[in-house]
Amino acid sequence: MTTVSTVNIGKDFNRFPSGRYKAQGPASGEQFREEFLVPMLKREDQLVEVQLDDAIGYGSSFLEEAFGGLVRHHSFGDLENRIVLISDDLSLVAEIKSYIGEAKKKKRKG
Amino acid sequence: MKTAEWKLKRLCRRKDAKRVKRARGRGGHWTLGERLSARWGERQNIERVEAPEEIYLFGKRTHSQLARFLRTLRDSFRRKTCTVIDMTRTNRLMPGGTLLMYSELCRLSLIFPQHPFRFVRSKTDVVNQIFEHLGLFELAGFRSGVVPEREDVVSWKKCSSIVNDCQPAGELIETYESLSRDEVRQVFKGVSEAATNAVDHAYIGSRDDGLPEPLEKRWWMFSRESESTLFVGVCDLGVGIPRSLPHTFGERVQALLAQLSLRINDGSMIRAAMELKRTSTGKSERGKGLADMRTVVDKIPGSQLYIFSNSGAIRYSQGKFTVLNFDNSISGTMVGWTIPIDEASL
Repeated sequence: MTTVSTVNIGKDFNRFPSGRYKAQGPASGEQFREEFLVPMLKREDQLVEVQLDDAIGYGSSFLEEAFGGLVRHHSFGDLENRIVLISDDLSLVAEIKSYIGEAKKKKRKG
Repeated sequence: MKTAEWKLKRLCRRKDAKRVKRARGRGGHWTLGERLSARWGERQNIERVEAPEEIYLFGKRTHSQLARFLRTLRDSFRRKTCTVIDMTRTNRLMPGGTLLMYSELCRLSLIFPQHPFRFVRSKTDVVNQIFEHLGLFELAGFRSGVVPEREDVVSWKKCSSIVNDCQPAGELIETYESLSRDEVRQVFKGVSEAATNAVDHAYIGSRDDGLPEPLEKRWWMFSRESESTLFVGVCDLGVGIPRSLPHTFGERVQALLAQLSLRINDGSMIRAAMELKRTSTGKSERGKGLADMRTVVDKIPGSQLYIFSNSGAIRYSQGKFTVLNFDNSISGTMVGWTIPIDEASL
């Protein structure tokens, strides 16, 4: 049975996410990925719902490392269907999906 | 009544018959140098650095004056002198130029914590109020006696960090009720990427300004709301985009310059940086930050982006770039946005 776990970036992680790597600052894409997304995705029967609107905003560095990094550093299958992005801003959702897609394309090329 | 004699005795920390005698000969009037010498003693050499009339980055003349002033300031701090920053002629402070000057003074204070420096106040009250409000007089240990009370002074806000911690910046942006929820999101996106660039790319090498390198990779942010616009700016004092670009994007820089029909100069390098999205190591996921800065303007009608770095600059507005080059380098990068304020939202 598929379960759904939810993470709200602004409330559960940090309202001011910024930067790529843990070494760069306290609310990086790498930290969000490793602390929240990866443990949730490791349960194979789980959908991960990501609430985006409670953070103040997102730079591309944070988003790309958080979501594109899932492809580069891990081997989760069917990410597009397992991660559900919730936001009023459809361009934000499209942006994140593009990072996942670009990372997959590059990984296939080797 | 405070006689000239009384003033002379008050100012002299040590008896100096010659100096007193000279001043008496002129009816008790002291030159600036004599007042400063009396106050801080002859044990220090005093070097006066005159600030320009306008602290302003746009315009060939004002950009050069500001860049030269900052270079002279750095040289003064390197020498074992007491630096006196003479603001007498300064009558106009624009946020981008002031952010650069503020950052430079903070950096110099960090590198030379024991170096004495002082200000001679401006003849223009608003300039002194802004300096007091920003804490520049306090940085010099100078009790100005100025009280910042004008609305166009207290609207200046600042924050700074050495890591990519954008919480202070985000909280500052959120204070502007004139910005819509979407505009806050866009501005934070741009500021976040400017901070990321500062932490990730700006301090990859020596700034080559002849000074010891501070250990921290600091960036500074200003914001100021006027009646019609909001200015938000982020400054770093690293190697500059023209020097960091080849490190980040490798051999593609020259190819792109040729493609855009641009000569190799600092302004063109900044322009090229807005287009490039790959790194020399083939990490296609990197290098999107400058595009984020442009997105702020694309999504907020009427807004403009300015990037000053070393001797070059670009202005981006309504989908068009203007590339600028100047005679002197600011030795760092200042990214700024001006955003029109909707009067209805105030």
